[in-house]
Amino acid sequence: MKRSLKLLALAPMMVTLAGSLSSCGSEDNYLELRVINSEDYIYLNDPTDPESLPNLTTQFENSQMVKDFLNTYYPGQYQGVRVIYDTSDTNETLYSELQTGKSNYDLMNVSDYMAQKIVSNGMAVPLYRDSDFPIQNYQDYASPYIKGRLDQIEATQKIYDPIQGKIVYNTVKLENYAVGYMWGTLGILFNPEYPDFNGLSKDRVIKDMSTYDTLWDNAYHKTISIKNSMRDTVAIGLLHALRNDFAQIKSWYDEGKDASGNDYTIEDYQRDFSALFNQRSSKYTFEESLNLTKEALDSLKENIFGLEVDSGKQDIITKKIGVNVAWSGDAVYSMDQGEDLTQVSEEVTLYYSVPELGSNLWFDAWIMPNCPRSDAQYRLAHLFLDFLCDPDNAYQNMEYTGYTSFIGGDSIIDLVRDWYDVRTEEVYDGEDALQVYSANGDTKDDPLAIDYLEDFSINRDPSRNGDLLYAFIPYDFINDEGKIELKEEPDDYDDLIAHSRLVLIEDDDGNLVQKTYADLTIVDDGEYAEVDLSYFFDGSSLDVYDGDPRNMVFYAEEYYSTYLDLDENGDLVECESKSVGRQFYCQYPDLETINRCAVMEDYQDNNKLVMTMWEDFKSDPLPLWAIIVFAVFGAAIIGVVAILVANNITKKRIKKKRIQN
Amino acid sequence: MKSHKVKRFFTLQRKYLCIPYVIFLLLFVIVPIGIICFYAFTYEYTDPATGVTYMKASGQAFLNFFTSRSKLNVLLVSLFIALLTTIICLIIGFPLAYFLADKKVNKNAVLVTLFIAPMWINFVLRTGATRDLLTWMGINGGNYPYLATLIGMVQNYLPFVILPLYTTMTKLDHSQIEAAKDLGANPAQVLFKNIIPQAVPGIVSACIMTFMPTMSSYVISDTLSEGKITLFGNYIELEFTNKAWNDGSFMALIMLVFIAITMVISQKFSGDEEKGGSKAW
Repeated sequence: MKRSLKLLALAPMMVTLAGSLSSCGSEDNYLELRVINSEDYIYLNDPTDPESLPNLTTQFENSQMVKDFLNTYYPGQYQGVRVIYDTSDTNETLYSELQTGKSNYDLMNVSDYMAQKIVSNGMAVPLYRDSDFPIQNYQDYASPYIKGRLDQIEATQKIYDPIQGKIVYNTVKLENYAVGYMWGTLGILFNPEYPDFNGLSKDRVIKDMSTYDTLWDNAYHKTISIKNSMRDTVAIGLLHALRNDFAQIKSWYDEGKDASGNDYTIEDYQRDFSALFNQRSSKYTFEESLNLTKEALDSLKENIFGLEVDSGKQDIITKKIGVNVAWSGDAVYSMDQGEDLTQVSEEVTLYYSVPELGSNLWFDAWIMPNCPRSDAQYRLAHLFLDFLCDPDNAYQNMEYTGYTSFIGGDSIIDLVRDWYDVRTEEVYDGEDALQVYSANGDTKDDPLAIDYLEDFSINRDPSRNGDLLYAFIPYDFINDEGKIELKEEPDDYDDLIAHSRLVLIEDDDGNLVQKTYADLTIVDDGEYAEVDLSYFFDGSSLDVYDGDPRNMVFYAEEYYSTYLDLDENGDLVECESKSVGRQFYCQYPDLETINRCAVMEDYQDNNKLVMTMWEDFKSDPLPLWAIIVFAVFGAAIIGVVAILVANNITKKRIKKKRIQN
Repeated sequence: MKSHKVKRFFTLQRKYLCIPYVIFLLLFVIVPIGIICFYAFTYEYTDPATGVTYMKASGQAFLNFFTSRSKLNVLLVSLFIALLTTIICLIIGFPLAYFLADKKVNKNAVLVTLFIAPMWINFVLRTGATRDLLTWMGINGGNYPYLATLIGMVQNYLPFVILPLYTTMTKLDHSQIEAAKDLGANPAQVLFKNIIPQAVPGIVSACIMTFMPTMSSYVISDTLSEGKITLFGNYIELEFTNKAWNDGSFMALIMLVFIAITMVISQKFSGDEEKGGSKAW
């Protein structure tokens, strides 16, 4: 995987930022924005790297949009803007803080269920009410699919109506309250070549990991660590406990018909899946499915190595464990670390699976708590969200955190291509190099190509075979008729990146034709997986060129992983696992994978029940040997005391006798 | 001439030097204990009609604690770990302290410093290192949660046992020991009838230094048992993160009761055999 830092290209921006920094005054009438986020969840400056950009919050403070905002709405009132940026460790901490009423944040980053809970309790205010600040970037660039799934979540507010004298239920959708930030799945991160799997082959392990039931498999005894967090582990227990029910609706969905022969669509499947997953199906009551989950978890406890919060992503690289239940972003982190030979002595190749019977889809979103704030702060919060949703900034966040942003758009598409698409090698190599791929070198004869070669000192990749040639032509070089027109070299390389997605291709006759990126096909199809991410990116990109919708098929070397297995004739054949992959799969699962994932909602009134169950799960009775040790010690102590007391009594008697005598 | 005595508005007396500590004590000891007690004997209820939650004086947390199998289990496990840790620490620490107190062995108290040195490193860091060390030795918490936890506990609390014992041992009345030997006591008798009775204050403070912290520690058990052993401290944390403030507070109160019990016991012992010195610990 390639993750080339495109920071260099952003260098001019940094210069402008530095310039604006120095112009700041020292008077203290700044407009403050109070933001709280999880740790390490936003682009932060690397102090050891002099070329790295300032923190994203600092970039916001100094951005042109903030200046324009202040000039338009509050001319002369504020010196500038200050972002007070705090971090917290868990959603629960944030909630407690909010409950005390002492916190005064303008924006808070919380998970899906917590957003639901906060909105239900009336502790959040609606966003984008003000038509001046519609968070345009979110509307334009956020993936409509993912945004849609977040927006669907409903929160039921209980409001006591004194006139009617009873509680009135008011159901609202999160769409008016939450702006999505990052999303991902829960799955199994594993090392198929882990030495302690009782000699299981790599193929067998990859095959096995397509289901959570494997965590209960004795073959993986004491090699698994699961999450020491209630909601995630309960989810796994539930998926295992009700595996027959999940399998049944999956098979209905696969066949397109349910048991009684009626059509069974994706909507039906997702509805039923979500009902089972959130323990509100008609088949089981909440208590019933919780009890089944408890039983499942109790038997899981025997089989696992341990429960972890944060150590798992490191332990799997150091081979302390072989299997780890992980969130997709952490899985990417572990995979990258395992391949980074400056971090590990021996490369560890890890895989990530989103089990075939389904898993958890999670979102982290920004909400605005119900705290006192000025009108200016309210507007500024919207501006900040708009800034975060700018694809260029989302890009920085994604590159830094390893999690997947809600934002699509051109910058992100290019980033993903840059990381995973085999069609893209290093496009920018150094400051002013564009790259042309050519195998045979014939292109030299083409005057147009030569122009480009010389103007941009284009590098060649000799390893590439076939008749494919393409160059990335900046939009600056395209005239109104859509033809290439050589102009001066641009001085803004940031712009160059954002606008370079036209390609030159050598056609069958040996002529260079210009096409969009999407028209490119891979010469040898067999070696690459075609990954269609149109479900995510469609509608998220403002296509600048020609109004053509861009084809969102990516060609990746590794997307699904393969394994060898026996077919029905007993021959060894290569199978493709549709639920196991590497970084690309972690970050952008395909539509099939996403379809079988559901959001785990807040337990609401049942929270107490789940808590009690979790506490019971966490506390084990004393093992038998310990009871024996305890008993022996107890007996010994009682014995000693008895002897002492007896001695005392006899001494006293002797004394008494002496006195009497 | 009339002698005129200047009456000062404020005279610095020695006792005023205590004021900072008294303020500290009030704010960070008395008030928190008060809050714990308040939460322990109230409970949060929701009015079904209006949906409003309110606090009410109640013994619900008390009832919850003594009727919950899992909570009592946790108490038992914690007591077990704490007791075993204390005993193992004493068995290891007692002879060690005895020899360290010998001037011939421990010239300039360098050796004792070496034994105390681990205390200077933050115990969270130390525990993380112990985890890796134990894995390397094949005693990982996944397979041997109790063993790994006990090793970690002993490693962490051994210095707290050695130091008070060492202080007592340096004050041992050696002429008494020699006399016992001369008068024909065998080594076992010397140990049990002479050295141990002399060292009782040290032993008591060593026990207090180990027993209570072990019961309430949660980082060590969480890290070394891979989350498999839940001690009292872990459980209170779990209650608090689940926002069960009342139940958590009641459990904290139980801890306070245990502390009170050990204090009473130690008072009794050190009252009986007041030798001074080790009481500083």
